[in-house]
Amino acid sequence: MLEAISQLSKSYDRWPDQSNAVKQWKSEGKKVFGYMCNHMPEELLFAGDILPVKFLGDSIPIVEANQYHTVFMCYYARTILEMGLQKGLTQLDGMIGAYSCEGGCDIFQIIADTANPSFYQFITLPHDSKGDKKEIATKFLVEEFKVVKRSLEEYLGRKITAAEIQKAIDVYNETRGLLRQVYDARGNAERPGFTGTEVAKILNWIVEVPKDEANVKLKELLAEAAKRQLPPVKGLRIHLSGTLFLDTEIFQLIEDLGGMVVSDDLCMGSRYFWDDIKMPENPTVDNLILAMVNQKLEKVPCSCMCSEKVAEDRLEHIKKLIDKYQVNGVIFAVHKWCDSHAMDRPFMIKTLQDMGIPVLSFEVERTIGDAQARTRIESFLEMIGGNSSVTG
Amino acid sequence: MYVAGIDIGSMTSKAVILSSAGDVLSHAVILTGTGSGVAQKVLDIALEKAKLTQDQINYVVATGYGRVGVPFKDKQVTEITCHARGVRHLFPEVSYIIDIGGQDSKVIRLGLHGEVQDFAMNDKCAAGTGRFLAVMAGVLNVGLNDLGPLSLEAKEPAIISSTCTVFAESEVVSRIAEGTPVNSIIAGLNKAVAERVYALLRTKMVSQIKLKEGNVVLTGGVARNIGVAKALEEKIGFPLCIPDHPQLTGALGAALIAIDYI
Ligand code: SF4
Repeated sequence: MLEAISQLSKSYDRWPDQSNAVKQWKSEGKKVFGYMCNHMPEELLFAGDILPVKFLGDSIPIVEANQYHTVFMCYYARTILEMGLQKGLTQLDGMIGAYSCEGGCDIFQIIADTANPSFYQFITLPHDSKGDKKEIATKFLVEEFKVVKRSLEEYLGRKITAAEIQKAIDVYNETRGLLRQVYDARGNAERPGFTGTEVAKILNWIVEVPKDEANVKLKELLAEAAKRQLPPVKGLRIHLSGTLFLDTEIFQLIEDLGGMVVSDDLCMGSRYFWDDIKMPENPTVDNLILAMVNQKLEKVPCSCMCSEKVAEDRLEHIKKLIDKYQVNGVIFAVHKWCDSHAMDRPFMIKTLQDMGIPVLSFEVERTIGDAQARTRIESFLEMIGGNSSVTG
Repeated sequence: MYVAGIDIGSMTSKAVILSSAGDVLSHAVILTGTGSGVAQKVLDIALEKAKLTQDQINYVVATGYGRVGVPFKDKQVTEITCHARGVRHLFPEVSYIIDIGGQDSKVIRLGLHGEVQDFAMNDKCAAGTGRFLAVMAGVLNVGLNDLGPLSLEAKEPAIISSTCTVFAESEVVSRIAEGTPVNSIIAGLNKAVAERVYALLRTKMVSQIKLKEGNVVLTGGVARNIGVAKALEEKIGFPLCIPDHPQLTGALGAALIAIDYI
């Protein structure tokens, strides 16, 4: 592992209260907000000098949270509630939720209720925004984002200007471009610049730190990667599909077994950054907000959206990545009780299999680290690796 | 030249020794138990039977849950791949393998050339596995090996609706309290396992490869339970192929793979 990537974990923590990035930001008298789902407009916060940190969850035992929420919910979200109940979110000044899956919305409100930050807002997101619904959905979300902006201004006691929003969008778009370069460097078949595990670590870090500083670091990492002499991946090149993981174990396991994750459509992966915000020619506040809304409604969708063709659109993204990064097989590792993703999965699996792409699918609960998951992944790699021993 | 296949499962550990020509020289099955050294123990028994010493073994492939911890292995291969190889060696026509082991049950679909096309494993839960039956045998105070023959004596199977080992246990207790004959309860349990595994098989069936007599093989320790085998045959509609030593196909496959490397 690149030393600089090992060092990244020093600047943040899965527990926001322990995060150095959070401590540093707050020592400058500035605010930190937590959020869960990618539908939250980070740029608006950053424009107001607020640091948005995504809840990463942690693979901790759940002790308190079960009193507040049913266990029929992904482990990820329940661990955030557990963190809050264990007084691990006290450094957060605010929380902004954005409509995602049913359970996600539900639990986010309980988290906010129990952690009681000084600012709380919930963004309702139109779930159906394609075709003839596009216009009304756009209008609706523009209003929602404007409400957020107004509430933030009231909270901060000052206006958030067009110039500040424009700058924030520039910074975030730069991050997105740099992350795509990171993916391209990892996906380079002859000379990969990064391993799958390293990229997963970069993604965990990037959602927790200020993006302007992170961009400087990302450029340094890319420069180091360009000088590196990593051997080509000997084993299989895997695309990983799902939401997020509470550690980087699955990436490491695939590498230990000779393969590598070279692509993904995780919400803590390519779905976090793949689509830029198109900067309007005339960057007024209204136009900038409209641009942010367009990006949210047009980006690679999450399964929790209900627009027609959500699974198809996501599949298109996966297919493009499969071609771009020469993927040999797809692994769906979805959280137990994540109903939205479970709903789309059979269709996506069938379509990929019909295209001749091998697929493995299993559910993850707290971590993937049990012997059975290992056997499944190892067998899958043996299966698509055309292990001649099997047929011999 | 000689090779060995070692299969360390959750309940039993198996070893098969082959000559380089593929002749079975010996095999052994022992309980895995706790502690280390089981791989060495099972190999030693097989070596003794084959009248060989360990340094005469040219290549060892380890498989099963304990494959990672076999100190003297030359290579580790998963049980999916090993079962596929072992079963196809015994039944060249096989397309579907149903393996019911101690800790998991699995279904493997093979293509025309014996390649693994797809597989499914039960979720991390003991329902539908050997462990389920072992727990129930304990509750009923009958030997594990008696579960099959006893169930054949039942007039009709009791209904065991719960697939969860823990809940099924209390269901069994209430059936006993109701006075349901023990053989009916056992027949009900065997049927519950068969139904669970049949559902797993259904997830991997494809229209291009139909189930037919001769292409479905049942392996794993539970294949020795005639009650489960019969209940499965009833669901599938024809007799299953069952190897003489259904527990050994993983170790056999591992040994066959070992031959490829000498
Ligand atoms: S979409 Fe799935 S993983 Fe994400 S919060 Fe909802 S249930 Fe959890």
